[in-house]
Amino acid sequence: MKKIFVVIAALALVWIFAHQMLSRQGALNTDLHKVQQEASVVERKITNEMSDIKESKSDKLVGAFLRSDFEFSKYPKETQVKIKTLGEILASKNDNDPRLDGDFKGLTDQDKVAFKEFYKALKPESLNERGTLAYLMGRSIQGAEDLDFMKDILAEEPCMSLENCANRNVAKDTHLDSMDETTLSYPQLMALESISRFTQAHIIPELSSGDQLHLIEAIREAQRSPIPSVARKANELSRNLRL
Amino acid sequence: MRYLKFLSALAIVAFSIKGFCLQFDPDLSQDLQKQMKEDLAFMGQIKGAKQTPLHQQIFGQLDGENYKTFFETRITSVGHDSCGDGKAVACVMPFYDAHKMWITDNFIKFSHPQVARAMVVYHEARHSEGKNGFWSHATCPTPFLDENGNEIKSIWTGSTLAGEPACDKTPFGSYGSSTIMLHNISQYCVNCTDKVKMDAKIYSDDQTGRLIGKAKEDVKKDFGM
Repeated sequence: MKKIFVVIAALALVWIFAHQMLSRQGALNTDLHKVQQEASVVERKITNEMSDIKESKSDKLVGAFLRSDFEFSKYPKETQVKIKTLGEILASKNDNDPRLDGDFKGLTDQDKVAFKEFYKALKPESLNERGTLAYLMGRSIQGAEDLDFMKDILAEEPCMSLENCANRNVAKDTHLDSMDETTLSYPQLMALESISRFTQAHIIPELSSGDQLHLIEAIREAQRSPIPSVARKANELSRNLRL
Repeated sequence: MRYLKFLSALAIVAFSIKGFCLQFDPDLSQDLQKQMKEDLAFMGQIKGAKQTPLHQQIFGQLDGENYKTFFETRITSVGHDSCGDGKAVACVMPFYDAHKMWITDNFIKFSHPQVARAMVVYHEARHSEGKNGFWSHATCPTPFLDENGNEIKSIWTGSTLAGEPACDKTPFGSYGSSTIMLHNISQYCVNCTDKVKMDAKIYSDDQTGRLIGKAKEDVKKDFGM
């Protein structure tokens, strides 16, 4: 009888323990579920807020990139869309935005006029932005006028510091100075690289004599550049083309 | 307890969104954190068709996962500092904490292309390797000449690199590994925009200028030049 009582008592204890464990597990599951739900609500909220911020921010930055006298409305709708898209990409600082590959191919004459204005409207210190414009225009070189725009970029006075192109920053940081110097000459390096690509994609003697002349003038401009890396690369290009 | 669980759930969410596992100091501004996370996320998604032998040796295959592992196994936290110079973008201070990277406000203040920002953090990450003497730089030769025999002199600072600890005599150092990384991105990345690939070439050319002696030849050979 005593043994039966002990067994029943033991079974009862096991049942109580198991029951408690199960209900604790259930409570934990409920808690976890609630936490997951709360986390997902917060995540959704953050994502929505981020995209709201991104939208309003990019709109503001598109405005900030451009001079106040830059007249958006004088360009055709399609050109306005391209300017706006480019402004968004530049504001995002994401150079790997696939729209850079897809949305600016086959620039029209109007697009090119607008992009030249866009370039001039940028602050001199907006070096990545100016270089991106040089890249997009350089990808669409078709003749003398486009080559002249590259030449104009190559003829610009060197930007003297990342903070203020007009003032030299004499602080010395030999460790990564050259990265800064590459950025300081980024629009020129991009223009020259674009000219180099143009020469690879075309048979020079088959270009019109006018285009050949403008091409040579652009390369000569780069050879005269006070920026050593630009002049060095231009000399190399000139040698390769046997100019 | 419930609050802690909620926080850990959020941390897991944040980790899965951002990909890289890094701890940011609270005094690092949200804008700096955001830019760094975006730049690392860009590196983390790169896919390549192939890679050069030296890239294979340093980073493995040309793949964002390998760039992510490379970074995460060297840098665990990021702080805010001026890095001792008005122009610096990032640094590591190996004798303070080799696995901590410091970012300056210039990281977002100056208009560098994305590839340049990525390059500088990977350059600095290489400096965190204690077992390799932090890949300390070699002294540039005096005089320091370019391939045409002309002295390399900055038009911006007016100084030369001759005698400065700003060169590498091995392709495995910070300049060498950056050159190799960028060259491979410019040549073999299959999901980079054309601009990114052009930028990678421009900055790789620049970094090659810091290689001296056999290191330059080794890299050229690696690139098939």
